[in-house]
Amino acid sequence: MRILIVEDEQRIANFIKRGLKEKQYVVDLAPDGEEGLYLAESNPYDLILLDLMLPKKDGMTICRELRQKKIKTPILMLTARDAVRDRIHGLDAGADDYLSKPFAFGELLARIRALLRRQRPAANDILQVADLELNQLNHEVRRNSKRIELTSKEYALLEYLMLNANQIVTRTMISEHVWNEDFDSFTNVIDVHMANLRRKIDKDFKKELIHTKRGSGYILKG
Amino acid sequence: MKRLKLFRDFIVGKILLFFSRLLRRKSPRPSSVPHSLILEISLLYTIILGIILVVFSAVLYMMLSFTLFRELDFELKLKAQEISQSIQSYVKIYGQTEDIFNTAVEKTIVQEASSLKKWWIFGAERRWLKLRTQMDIEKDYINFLTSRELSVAQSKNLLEEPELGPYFLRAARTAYGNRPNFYDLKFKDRKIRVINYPFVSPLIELPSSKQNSETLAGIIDASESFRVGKEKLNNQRYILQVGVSPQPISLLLQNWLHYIVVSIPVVLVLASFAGGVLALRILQPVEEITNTARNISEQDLSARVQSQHYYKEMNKLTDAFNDMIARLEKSFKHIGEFSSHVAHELKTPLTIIKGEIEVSLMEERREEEYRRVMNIALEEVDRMLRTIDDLLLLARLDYQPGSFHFGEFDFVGFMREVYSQSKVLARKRKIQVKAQWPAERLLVKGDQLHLRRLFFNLIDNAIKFTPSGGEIEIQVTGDKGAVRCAVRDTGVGIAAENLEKIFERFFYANSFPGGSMGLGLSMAKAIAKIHQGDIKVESALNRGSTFTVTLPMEKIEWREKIGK
Repeated sequence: MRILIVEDEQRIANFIKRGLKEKQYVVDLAPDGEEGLYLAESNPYDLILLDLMLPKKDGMTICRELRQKKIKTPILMLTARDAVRDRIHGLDAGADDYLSKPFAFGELLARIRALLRRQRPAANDILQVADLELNQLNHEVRRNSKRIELTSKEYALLEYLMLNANQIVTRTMISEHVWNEDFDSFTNVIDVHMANLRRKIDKDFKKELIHTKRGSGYILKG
Repeated sequence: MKRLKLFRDFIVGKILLFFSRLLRRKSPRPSSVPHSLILEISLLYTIILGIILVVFSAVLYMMLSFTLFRELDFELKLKAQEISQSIQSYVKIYGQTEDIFNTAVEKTIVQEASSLKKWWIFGAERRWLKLRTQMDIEKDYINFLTSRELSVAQSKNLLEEPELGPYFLRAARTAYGNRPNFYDLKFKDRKIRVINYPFVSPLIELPSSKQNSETLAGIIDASESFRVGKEKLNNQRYILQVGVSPQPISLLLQNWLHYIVVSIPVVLVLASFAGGVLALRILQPVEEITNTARNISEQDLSARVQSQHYYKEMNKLTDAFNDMIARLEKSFKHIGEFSSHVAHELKTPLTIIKGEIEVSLMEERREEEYRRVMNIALEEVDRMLRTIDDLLLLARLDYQPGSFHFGEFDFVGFMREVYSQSKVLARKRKIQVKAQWPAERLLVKGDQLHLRRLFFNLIDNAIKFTPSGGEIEIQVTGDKGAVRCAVRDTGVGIAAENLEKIFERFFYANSFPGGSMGLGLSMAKAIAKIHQGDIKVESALNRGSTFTVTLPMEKIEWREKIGK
């Protein structure tokens, strides 16, 4: 799950980024409105955290412009302005949710999960393919009730594959959703992580769930 | 001229005082139920109109009555004159003898107009008679008597009412000298206005008076309507009395009075109605303002009174009201923005502290991690305290200018200190600071603590907006009783449309890193103002800005010190 944070206050952006990373999200930062809009337009984020008072371009404008360009990425507004009128304006500009500062970090995580859940048909926090289970709340992965320990990158990779189960997932898709802007496409980092993940998921079990589709990508099938 | 003006002012003042008292009398203690203004206006209007009408009618009545009576007197005098002329002309025609005089008197006073119909009268006699008839004295009471109150001749109507005789005699007694006088004769319920007209006999001499007395008596006997006193007509002075009833005049005046008495109340009733309608019309905008004012709340100040009225004064009122609402709306908006900025400014550090702590508590951390979070929290708490201090200082600058400690000091020395400290600040960003000041001392009266804050705010900003390797220049000059200090930077500059706004509290511009300028510049300006100074800014985008602080110089005391 890749999230964009548009926030001009360096320290706020920092702790959100750190907190989200610990929860296995992939995070990009934009320190002003223009860069935020550019990143949101050029990458397929799963969610955008948007501050309202921003240098160069304010949050409301970014929100409106994204919606005009048919970019339907869920937007969660974060702002110190919490009057009912401000919230109404924010939601009307195209935001999906609104959280006023200062906020409880747990609530931010819950709202992010809720917004992401809304994007898929089975709206719960446990993803399941055959006997493989992934709990998005406590990030536990079990196969046949046996717990499997994963690194955060492996978790993010598996979560993405499970969210797109029974579909071919290309390397580009993986790089866009599981890695952030710093991703270097000339390395074989995806292959390395994928190999590790396959070893942990499939090695001890009869049935293989992750398959390689030569020339196109990977598929997770039950 | 000046006196006249003073007098006019005095009169106008008195009138206003009178009406204000009138108003006050009608509106009792403020604790009681308030009156309707419309009722009061129409009542006052009616009362004023009533007073004017009564005074006006009274004056008119008096003038009319005076004129009519004067006319009556004039007419009486004219008649008396004509009668006396008629007698004299008769005597002139027929000879100056006593007989002829008596005949003339008789003919003039007693003769009836019908005599003209008698065909045998002709020639000079007829001409005379014609003239006499034209006098129109048939209805008047005429009494001709000697100065010794002996009646020589009386007109027919007087003869018919012998009881009037003594009254005329009494009137005759008021005569004096050679001038005619008037007398009001009251008889029962009748009034007669009488003129006593002195008449001098036209006879030149009276030697034959005794001789002619027989014949005269004969004539008197012959004519029943003519009586001659027993006394001889040896006195040349007579009194001609002409009396007229003033009844037509009295009737006219009485009718007039009736009309007035009846018409004034009718006019007043109509006027009070009209006054009410007028007041209602005039107060229409007041009603509108009331309705608008009711609709205005702190949530919505957009309501305005429709401001095109027939009355100029009401337009002024509605304009003033609308202006007031506009100002309120502006200041409400300003307060709203200000408080939202304050909230933002205080909530940002709180968000950081809360977020850092919560994230660090999500899992077990190493000690350094906790230490890092603690440090951040401490810094953010300091930042909040700074913001609160700034806000309090600004409030003090606004409302308690007395709480500053003003003292005289040398501005050049002061800036030298500021300069050396700012060099340290700028070194971290690799920015060079230059300074320039005059050789002599410049004396300034002010609060050094706050002035230091002013200049550090300016220099902080300059450092903040100047890229590394840039340059900041401080230039102090003193002339024309003012000390000027320019802080020039080679930073990002300020867009022309924002030049004035940057001094607003928490002015927020998209072009600034960090968005808000915070309170620094607005505080600097407030401090300058407290010192009777000012801050001006010039700027060119991407080339830099110059902030110039002007402070008044303490000149006189400086000279005194030189003297010492």
